[in-house]
Amino acid sequence: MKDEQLVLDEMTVADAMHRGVLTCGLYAPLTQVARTMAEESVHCVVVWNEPSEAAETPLWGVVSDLDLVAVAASENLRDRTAGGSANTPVLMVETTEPLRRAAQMMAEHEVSHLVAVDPVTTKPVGVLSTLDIARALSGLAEPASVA
Amino acid sequence: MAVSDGDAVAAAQHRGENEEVEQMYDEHAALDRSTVADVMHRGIVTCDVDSPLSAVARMMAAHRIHCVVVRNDASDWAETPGGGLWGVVSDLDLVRILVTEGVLGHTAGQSAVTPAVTVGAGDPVRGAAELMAEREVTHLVVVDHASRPVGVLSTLDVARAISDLVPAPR
Repeated sequence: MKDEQLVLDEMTVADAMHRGVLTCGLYAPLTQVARTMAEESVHCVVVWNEPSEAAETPLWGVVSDLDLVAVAASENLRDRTAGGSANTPVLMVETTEPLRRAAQMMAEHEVSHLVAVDPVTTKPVGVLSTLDIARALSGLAEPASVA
Repeated sequence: MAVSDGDAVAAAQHRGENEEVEQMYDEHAALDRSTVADVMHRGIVTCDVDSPLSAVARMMAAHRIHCVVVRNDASDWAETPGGGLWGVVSDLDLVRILVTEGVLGHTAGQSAVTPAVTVGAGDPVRGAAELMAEREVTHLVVVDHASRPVGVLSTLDVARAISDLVPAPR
């Protein structure tokens, strides 16, 4: 049996996250984003800015599944690009942060995905979802039962 | 309406463009034509109001699902149409409780703060998408004509419906 406070403080973002980030360009058609989500079973796709010398950070935004659905509900998808539909705030967390910090950010900003960045290079290396936190907790057992 | 040869030539010249417009409208209509039942996941993962929240976390992890439907009691759905549906615990609900009061000691019923938004199995996918956007939920509980839950429609199911409408990139 594990204590949930222990899980939150001792596990890091790197321990629980999924490595790798699915990305698309700023001008990628939204229908392509839909395909990526459906094929890879991911709820968010990171939108990159066009490569440019001036851009300090190429991370532009995040298209969530809810962003996509909101567009599909009201407009013609063909006219839309990833960049024009990225309405989800980009929340980044360093991979070395404790899980508690990540969970607090999710609760505070009401987002179910954080982009995990390497603390040294500041480059995105993975995604941490609320489901990853549920998985981290799945070793928990109520005091009364034996897990 | 009569179409002159001149019109036909002009249409042929802009054929590519026109075809695209036509396909666009087809796609638009296709989301209205396909029903929730066509794209949903059949079956729902449920727990009781009294189930410990830690057990709900395990269910989410084991089934890789973002929401668990909370039942009012152990009664058969068929006998209590609609009435047995208490709410939904989402993974974000779980994380919210985790960082405030802690998961241990909490039950599913205490934690089901996400309203169970339902949609009819025969409703068009576009209507379901509108409902998700309006209520800001990523999952809808799909009910049959007798209000019995029969499945879950997630935003990813809608994404799949959209990607099925578009030819795969070569």
